[in-house]
Amino acid sequence: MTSSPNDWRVATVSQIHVETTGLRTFTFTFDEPVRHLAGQHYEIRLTSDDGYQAGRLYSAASIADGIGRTLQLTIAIMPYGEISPYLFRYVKAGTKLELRVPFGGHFVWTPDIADPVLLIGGGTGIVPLRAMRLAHLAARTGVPMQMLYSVRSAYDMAYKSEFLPDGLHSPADVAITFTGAAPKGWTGFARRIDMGMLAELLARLGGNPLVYVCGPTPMVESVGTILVAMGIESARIKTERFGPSRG
Amino acid sequence: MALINPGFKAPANRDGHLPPGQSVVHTWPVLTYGPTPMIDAGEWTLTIDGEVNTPVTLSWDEFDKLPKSSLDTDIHCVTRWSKLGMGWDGASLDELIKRAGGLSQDANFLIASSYGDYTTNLPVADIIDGKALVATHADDEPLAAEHGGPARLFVPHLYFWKSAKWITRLTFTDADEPGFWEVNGYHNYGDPWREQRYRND
Repeated sequence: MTSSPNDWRVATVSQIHVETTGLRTFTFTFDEPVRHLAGQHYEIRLTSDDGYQAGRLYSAASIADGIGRTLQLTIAIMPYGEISPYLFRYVKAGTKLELRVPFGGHFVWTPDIADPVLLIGGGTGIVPLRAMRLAHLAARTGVPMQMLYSVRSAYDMAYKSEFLPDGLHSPADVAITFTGAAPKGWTGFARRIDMGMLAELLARLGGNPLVYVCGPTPMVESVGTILVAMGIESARIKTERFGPSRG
Repeated sequence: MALINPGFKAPANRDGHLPPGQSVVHTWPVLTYGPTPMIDAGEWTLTIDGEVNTPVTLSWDEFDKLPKSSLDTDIHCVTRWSKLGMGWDGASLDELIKRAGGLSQDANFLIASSYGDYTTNLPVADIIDGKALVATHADDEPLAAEHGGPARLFVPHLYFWKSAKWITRLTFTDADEPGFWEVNGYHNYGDPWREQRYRND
């Protein structure tokens, strides 16, 4: 997972999907096959005509097994950022961008993991977990994996066609909790993540689960504290927080 | 040759992107006031003491077993460079404080000490709630000795001298005790966004 300056590759944006107002999924097509582990990041680098450069890391939203040539990154716009406003304003289907691949070796899920897995995402923290779920579905290992997605409302959701296809029901392996307004007629969770909610999901999984938590720092801290209090060994909790970077 | 992205410009007013007076670097400069100590992980220890409930000394193996956290962020050196979009990994100070039984009610400051007698001081509020790590990896590489390996303090929202290299002791105190650079003319707090470089800034 090391990188060198020679790892920069040019990819063409082949599709842009608007997830929500400030969240878009960019599909990139490379000339060569793409391979990364679910949970890893890519860096996008922008260069001005006078040589100024800036780069930012984004979690892969898709899986890449070394056969296909496409990659999806789901990117939130940071109004005062350097990279994301450019991506939202200037990048269209057909635009070429430089990417460096891939980063991160701790917050990853691989098909050889034999333990049940609980994925807990808050807000745009769902992005790397979506890749883990896709990797798990593709691997067909039979090891249980359960996702919990904490989001304000259906309006704020990413991957709605996968997680809430009819607007009211999620797949059996995806639990959603709406922390703001739940859809009318919603019968699932509608509160911040708490011990009762986690106990219910852990009971579905059984075994000695591995837990991945990704989201804003306060959410990750809170969920981590609850999990430890429930007796989950802290070495079995992998977390990724949004730091104060200005994407 | 890098691909040029039409329409992408260096920000004319970088206030929203870079702290005042900083420039972006793509290399990683090394600034240390003395020779780089070479500390073998086998001899490395981390002591957490002072105003904590159960002072503790961790070996490398014990430290290595702690749950790890990542912080993806920018770093700002008082010598006017900033390195953007780095990924850092290590154990959060929250986790380490937990290992020492929690803070006592008189814990107001952290005095961080390095191999080689470097110290720096920080308010406790600046190192809790996920804001700080004892970091072992930057951009997925184990920290090289010149960058503070095997482990350094990592407090990215303050100028980077506060992120003491070769960390070996975290002492919590009631009263503030200005550290090496702080008694040598640098600012006691060091907020890059308020450009607190030197003592009177």
